[in-house]
Amino acid sequence: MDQQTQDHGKQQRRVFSLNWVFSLAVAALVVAAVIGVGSVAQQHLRNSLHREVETRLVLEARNLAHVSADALLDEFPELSLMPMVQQIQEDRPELAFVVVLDHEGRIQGHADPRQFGQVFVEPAGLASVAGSAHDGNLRTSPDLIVASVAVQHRDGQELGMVLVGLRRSYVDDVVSRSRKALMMVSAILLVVGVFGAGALMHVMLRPVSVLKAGIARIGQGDLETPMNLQDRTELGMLAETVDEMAARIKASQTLMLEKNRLDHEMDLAHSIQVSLMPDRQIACGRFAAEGLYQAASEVGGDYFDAFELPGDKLGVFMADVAGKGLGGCLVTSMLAALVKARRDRYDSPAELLTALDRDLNGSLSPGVFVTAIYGILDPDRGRLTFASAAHCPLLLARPAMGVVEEYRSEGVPLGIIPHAIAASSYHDTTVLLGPGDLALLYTDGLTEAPRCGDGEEFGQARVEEILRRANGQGHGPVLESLQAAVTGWQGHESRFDDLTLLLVGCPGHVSKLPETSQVSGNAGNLIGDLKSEDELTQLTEGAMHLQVSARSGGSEQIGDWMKALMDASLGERDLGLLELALSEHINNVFEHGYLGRPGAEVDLWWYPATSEHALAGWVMVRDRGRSCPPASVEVPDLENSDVRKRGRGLGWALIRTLTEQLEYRTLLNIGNVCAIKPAVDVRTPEEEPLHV
Amino acid sequence: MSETFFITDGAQDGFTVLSLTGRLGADAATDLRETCMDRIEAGERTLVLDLRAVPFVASSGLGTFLYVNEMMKELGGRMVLAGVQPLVQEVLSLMNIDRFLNIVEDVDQVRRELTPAT
Repeated sequence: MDQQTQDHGKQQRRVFSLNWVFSLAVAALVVAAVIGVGSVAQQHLRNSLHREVETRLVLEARNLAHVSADALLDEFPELSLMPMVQQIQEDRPELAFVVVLDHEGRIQGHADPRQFGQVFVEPAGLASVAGSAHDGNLRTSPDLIVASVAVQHRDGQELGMVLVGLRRSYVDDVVSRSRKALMMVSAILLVVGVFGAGALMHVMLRPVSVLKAGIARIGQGDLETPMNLQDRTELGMLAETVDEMAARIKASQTLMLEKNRLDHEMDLAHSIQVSLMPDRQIACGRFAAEGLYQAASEVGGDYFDAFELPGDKLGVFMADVAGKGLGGCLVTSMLAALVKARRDRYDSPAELLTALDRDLNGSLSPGVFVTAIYGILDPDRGRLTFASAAHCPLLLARPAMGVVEEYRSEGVPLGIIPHAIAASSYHDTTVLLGPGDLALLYTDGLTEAPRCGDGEEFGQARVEEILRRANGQGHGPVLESLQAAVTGWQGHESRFDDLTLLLVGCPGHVSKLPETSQVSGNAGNLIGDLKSEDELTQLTEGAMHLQVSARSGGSEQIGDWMKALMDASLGERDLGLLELALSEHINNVFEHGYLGRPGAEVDLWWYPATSEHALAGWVMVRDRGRSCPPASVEVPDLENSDVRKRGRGLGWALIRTLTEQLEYRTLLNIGNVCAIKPAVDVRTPEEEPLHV
Repeated sequence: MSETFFITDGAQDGFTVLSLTGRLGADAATDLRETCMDRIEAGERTLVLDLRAVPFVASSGLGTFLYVNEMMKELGGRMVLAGVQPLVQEVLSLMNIDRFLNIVEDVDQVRRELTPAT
């Protein structure tokens, strides 16, 4: 409706041609100028003519008066005056009359001889001219201009009067003729002016039509046809400006279209990249993996994935491609495809990274490289084996011990150095994930996020602090805590890099071990005070020693050793139960403390119940593996059928059941020391029990 | 040097007896679990573990007993431990898991229970 109204308005609006407008304006100005100049000129001419005529009239009269003085003294003045007057009148026909009067006012000189001696009667209506230069000599009437000059003798005596009259019609005729001539010139000037102005305007304004057509073309979207107006006036400059403007609009349009196309492609790339990453938690047994990806302002090169592997295992992969934009996204997509194609072939993360390095070597543009970390979780054994190619450290939060372990990468980035060198840098590392433990994989968008204002990086320490507080939280809340902390750190500044996080672990809350909870009583104090290997040697002096190697097959070796040492003081039942407790502990050490490392060794000392030693009746076990305190392991709730169905994690529960007292401590320079007092009386009946 | 352990698979009338020999440690428990799962997948719903020759059962063995037992219960079958040695019985009692398991004196008891009275 509005459009129709506007169109209607356009149709109704009258358009005045600039050519006509300018031509008419110029014509009007010329007419005004001609009329004004003509009027002034005519008035000026009239006045000048009057002054000239009057002056000449007065001079004529004076001359006549001068020559008439002697004649009036003659006896017959008419004889000389008459011819003189007649001659003047013949020469000046415009004069109405010329008379010479004597002192009585009688006519002594006149063109008509019959007037001689008559008293001169002045024409009626004569009046002096006020302000005239000839005041006193000049009088006028509507029809005449009369100059009167006295005729004087040399001695000053007045002899008579000369009167010369001029017809006003003569002056009017002269003025009229000059006006006609002026009007003729004005008319010619007017015609020439109007036509000249029209022609000039036509020539001058011709570029306007070119401009109008050019601007109309631009309005219709044609930005490619220039006006090319060859004009040296401002209109020519205007046309050039419009051409330049159209060219700039065209360039801007091209840029905008290109930008829109790029934006669309970036959106598409972002969608593809996001679709490569899982948006839900991937569960595997009692473990789960969950990730978070928050893109930067442009498409980044981060990528993560979590997937099931053959043998009910869980794979977790994360990579950071150096280089953002479409290039980074393409490498990310290629990497995702390679991981998907190869992940089922390799049981070793290092081998997969080696294969990826071989694939990427030579395929990446100069300056582009990839850091990556790949882990395989065995949920049955709670073992996470991973290898890293120069990726950010894996952080492992162990809430039971209140620590966050850091595992730095020893590998080089994928795809940038000769494959043989790169391949030798990738190594598998295995960590044990206990209840509540959370392994965090991340990209540098987390730790290197700059603070709004001073640019300080978020840093790994803050990440570790958040992980320390994450005890008992599920994967989602921990990811949200990390994301919220980084977002708050960065303030309102747009994210400079992708934020990519991946958590792997077994959700659940565990109690943190008190600092000295494992040390109590007599035995506890004794092992808790150990400071060096020498002190351990001193403490174990006199005790029976056995060193068990992981290769030698622990429990039978322990059984034989114990039978040899204690068959005299222990019944078969008690011996069997103690052997079982020690076997369980040593098995735990080999599996979780040494993570199955071949060649690992464990030392056992038996303090005979019959000895005087403060640890009489105790068995002490020392290992140098990772700390695995019994309190870090939850007691399985066997009332729960799901726990029973899991069928694992009974080791420490069995050890606790079979021991009366157990002390465990991780000691600097010594290792992990566990002192076990069997739940049996191993001393001879005649001895007093030891109170601790 | 791994501990000596082996399983003898013997089908009886209406049930399967797995006769175990040796110390039931971590590796042996894995073997036992796999053997039991094979029998269950083959359709066996009464599985008797003959433990007469098993003097030692580690926690992994206990876990396997519980796991197979729960699997059989879910499938409407049952797992029975027969000929349990006193020390092993003591461990089951101390751990208080004997209440979840079917423990009989010997394999014949199972056979008698399954044979209809004439």
